[in-house]
Amino acid sequence: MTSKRFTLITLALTIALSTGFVLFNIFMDEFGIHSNTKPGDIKIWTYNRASKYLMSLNYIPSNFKAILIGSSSSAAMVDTKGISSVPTYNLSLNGANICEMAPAAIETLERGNMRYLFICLDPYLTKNSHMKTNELSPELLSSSYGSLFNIKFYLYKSLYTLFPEKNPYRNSGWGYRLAGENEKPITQAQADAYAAKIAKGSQPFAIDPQAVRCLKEIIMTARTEGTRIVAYFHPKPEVIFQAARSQYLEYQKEMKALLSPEDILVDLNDPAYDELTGDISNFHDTTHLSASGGRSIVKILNQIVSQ
Amino acid sequence: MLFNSFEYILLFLPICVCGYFLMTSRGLLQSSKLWLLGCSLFFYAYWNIRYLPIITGSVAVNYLVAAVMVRRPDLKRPFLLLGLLFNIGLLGYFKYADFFLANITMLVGVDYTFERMALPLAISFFSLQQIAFLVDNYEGSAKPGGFVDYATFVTFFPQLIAGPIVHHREVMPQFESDENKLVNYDNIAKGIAIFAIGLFKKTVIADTFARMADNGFSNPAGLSATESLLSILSYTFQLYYDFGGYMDMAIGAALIFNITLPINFNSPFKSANIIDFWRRWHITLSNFITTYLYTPIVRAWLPFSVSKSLMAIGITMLIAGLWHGAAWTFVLFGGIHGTALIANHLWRRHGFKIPAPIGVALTFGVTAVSLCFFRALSVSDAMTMLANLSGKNGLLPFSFNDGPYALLLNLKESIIYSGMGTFEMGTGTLLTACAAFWVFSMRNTHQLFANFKPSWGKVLLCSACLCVSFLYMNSFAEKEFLYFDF
Repeated sequence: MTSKRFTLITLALTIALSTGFVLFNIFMDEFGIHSNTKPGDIKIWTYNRASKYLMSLNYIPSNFKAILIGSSSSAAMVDTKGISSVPTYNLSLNGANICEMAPAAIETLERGNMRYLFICLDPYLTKNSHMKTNELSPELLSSSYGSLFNIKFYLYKSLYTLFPEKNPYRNSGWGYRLAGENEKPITQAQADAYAAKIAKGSQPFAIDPQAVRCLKEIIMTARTEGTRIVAYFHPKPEVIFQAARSQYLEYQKEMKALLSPEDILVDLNDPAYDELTGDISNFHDTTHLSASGGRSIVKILNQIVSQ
Repeated sequence: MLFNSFEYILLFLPICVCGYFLMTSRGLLQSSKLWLLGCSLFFYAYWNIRYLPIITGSVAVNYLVAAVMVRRPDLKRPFLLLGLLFNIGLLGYFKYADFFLANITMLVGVDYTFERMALPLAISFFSLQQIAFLVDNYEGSAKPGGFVDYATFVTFFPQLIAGPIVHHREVMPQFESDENKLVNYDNIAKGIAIFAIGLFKKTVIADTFARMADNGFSNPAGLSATESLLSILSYTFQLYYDFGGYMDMAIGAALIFNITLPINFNSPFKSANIIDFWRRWHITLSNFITTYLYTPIVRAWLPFSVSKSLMAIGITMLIAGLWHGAAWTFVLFGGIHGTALIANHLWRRHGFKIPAPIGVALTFGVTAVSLCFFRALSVSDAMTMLANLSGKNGLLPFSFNDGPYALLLNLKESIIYSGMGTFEMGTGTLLTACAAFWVFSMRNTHQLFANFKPSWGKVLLCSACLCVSFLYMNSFAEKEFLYFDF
């Protein structure tokens, strides 16, 4: 082989392989960026944060009229497919603070014609503001055309196609996550023990000012886009709420100040919702909802929308 | 602009090469040099255009000084001193002023710090290269020639940012050679192959180790012995592959222009002693400090004696350490190497011999400890990291407590994740073992391609290296080269 031939073949092969992989990813369009889809068509296989961010560029704004944002509190078990009158995507991100949530939420609000923005308010959401992963940035779009992200994505897609029961997002193209279905749910005794533990510490919940700014930015974007804001305080098992009642009320006061009278705010820890918070079977653990808890939330959101 | 960026690989380098050979093939030799100079300055300014006047000013002043030294032999010595003062002053102002002022502030208690521009890129390298040129010019072994020639020699982009530090006499005859003005596919093929391997080393291996090293060094206080060890080893291999990869890319890119840059990195971890290590690690810097620092110190202390020579080694290495960075951690890095070199010379003088594998292990150990200081944010962090090796925080990382399954899980996650996410110690062990195997037992890029013969196997190897590197490059991890900071 001559050096000239080596040079040309090496460059041609590299360009062909790289371009081929990029074209393959565009053709597969796993995040609904380039093609027209129907609600539920695009599922999450891995990297829930990155996947939801990429879906916010076209799939969610094109197919849905409302989004639910929050941390794992609302990501887990809240199947928004059940909100029948408004197609709603559960954009909540596992383990996310509101600043991590903001890029996908703002993209969706700006690109789509959203009627409702549902916000699940939980102290975890505003506890801090740093990015725990580097997945959510505009660079992600170029990365989705050909990077390790795609390799991992296809590996997980193959794995979950073979073993569908392993995929926590398997049941939904609406973005919700099955939480701990194979684990034992929390018992009243465990909730009581946890309540006793947190009752000893009387520190107020930390609220990061930067996180508050991120939340304000989302709210402002929604208002600019004419999207109605429906916020709710994430329900806690009653004993746990009562154990840290003053901290929760202080937190609620701070959050209420961010909303205006035309927004809808529901406190799911209010005695009116005792049926939800008083029944420990609605909770998977001290924070996350069980399947029945998730159904209750959907029912409540449905009622709000229909009113 | 980074060597491991798409804009460099897909746009800048091809355009630069095509433009250069288009001009040389039409006999536009001066234009081709101007083109190369323009490209090199663009390459430099792409990083931060505010740095451009510093490098152009430095080149202009050094050229003028050298020109006066050629035309007025009677003023040679004062102008050499003027030139040296200018380069050292520039370096001192931008690189060391803060360090010295901070130390004075600490000693005197009065705040002398002041605001100024951040350290200009590559200032350590182009300053050293021009110091060497002025001294060579003084001794009659280099002449500046035309300004464009001189500026091209200093700013030639493959070696501008982090070396190798080249001599005028090594590079300029190559630019003048008629043979080198033609497209040479043998050089292009070999250059691409070396570049591809270098890119793979940097993006796939070094950047992967970087995440693990960063995790460990960002919070050394609570690390177990294994975690500390893996963090230190990770940084050791990170620097090895980062610098080795950069050098391969620099040499490969220059070769495409028919310019052969000196080998700067020759399997340093295979060294059986620390003297040999410095003959293999950053070879052009070692040659510089030997020629322009150690030798003048020894000459100044004539008559020669062993103790003076050893003292000169110590001083030279302290300065070499400080050259790497304005912090006490770098001074200690130099101090460790200086002490090891002195011990090695004494050892050799007394005729002690140790088996080669023990020598290799010992040299590697000393280097790893010195690099712990090199990487740590402070001397106390480095000491904490080393103290952790005693097992005061336990021997095993916490993630091992969950047993072999967790270890395997971490391994799987991290191999898939490595370009994007966090690292786990299980993977660290595996990758460190693989890296060690490659470093200690495989041939390096230059040995591999010494008699480069194109083949289908090499086509596949190079294409695979480039494609996998592209995947990593597009995975938005941190990509800067470590030696850019020096």
